[in-house]
Amino acid sequence: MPEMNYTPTQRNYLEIQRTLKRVQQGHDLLEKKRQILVSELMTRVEAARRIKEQVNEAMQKAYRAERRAAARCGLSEMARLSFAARTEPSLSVTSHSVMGVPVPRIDCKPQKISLQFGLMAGASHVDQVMERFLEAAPLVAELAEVDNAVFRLAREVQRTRRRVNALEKSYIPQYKKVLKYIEEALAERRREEFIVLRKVKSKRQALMSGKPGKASFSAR
Amino acid sequence: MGFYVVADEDTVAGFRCAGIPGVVVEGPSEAAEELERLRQEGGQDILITTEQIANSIRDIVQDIRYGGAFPLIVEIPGPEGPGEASPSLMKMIREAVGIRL
Repeated sequence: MPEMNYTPTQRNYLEIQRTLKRVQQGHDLLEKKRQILVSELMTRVEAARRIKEQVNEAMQKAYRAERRAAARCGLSEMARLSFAARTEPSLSVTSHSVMGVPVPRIDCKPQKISLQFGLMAGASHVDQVMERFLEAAPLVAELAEVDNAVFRLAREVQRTRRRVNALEKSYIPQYKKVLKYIEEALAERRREEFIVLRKVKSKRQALMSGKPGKASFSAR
Repeated sequence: MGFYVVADEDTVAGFRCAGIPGVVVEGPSEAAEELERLRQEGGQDILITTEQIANSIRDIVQDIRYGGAFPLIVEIPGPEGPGEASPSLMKMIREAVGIRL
């Protein structure tokens, strides 16, 4: 909170006027930022929800395949085979900034699926596990992108909104109040001065025309 | 580089079949430790964990999420199946935007 006891002078008046103008500009900018963030957020919310569902489905399938394979050849055999996996989803991640919020962009190329573990014993089941999990991987990547973007944007929207509110509800009214106070004080002083001036003037006029003897020591 | 799984045995084993490395963790403290380590080390782009684990160490997950551009953290449903549709996210959006979705 800024210190709000200013002495009512012309100088302070101008200074606060300038500050208020800047604060209002800041407020407008922040409000614009908030609007942009909200629109960025809204475009992603639907996608986030959709992809989440897809991931859920893909993972269900993947776990089912895994349970089947585990039942067929045992967990230890599956683990042994899995160390021989030669595929890995290729992933390229970059980050760009939306109003200062780091928003990720992920590119996950779906891997071409080929037999890895052969047809022996339960190995074909393990192949299926691989297939399912490989299918899930790009979806998971997409979810990572959208989910993180949504979370980060939402938090930034909240922060910006708090700042906008602070300016709108507290700073700007306070500055306006001080400005008004100074303005009134200055006007009051001007009126006082005006009256004093008139008194002096009328006294002087009286002095000039008429009885010089009486007022000669009080003039000037 | 790439994905890294921090989860239960089944999830890690499954992803390993697809060539995605991972580490098995049991219990929240172990998961927290592992995630913290991976974050310090860097080099991973996307950390995959399950909703169950993420829910048990929400603070650290949020920390990683907001901590910087990378690594990203993503929650997938565990072998027990998907949980509620991330209530915290919807709540957050509601608070942020001020409307219900």
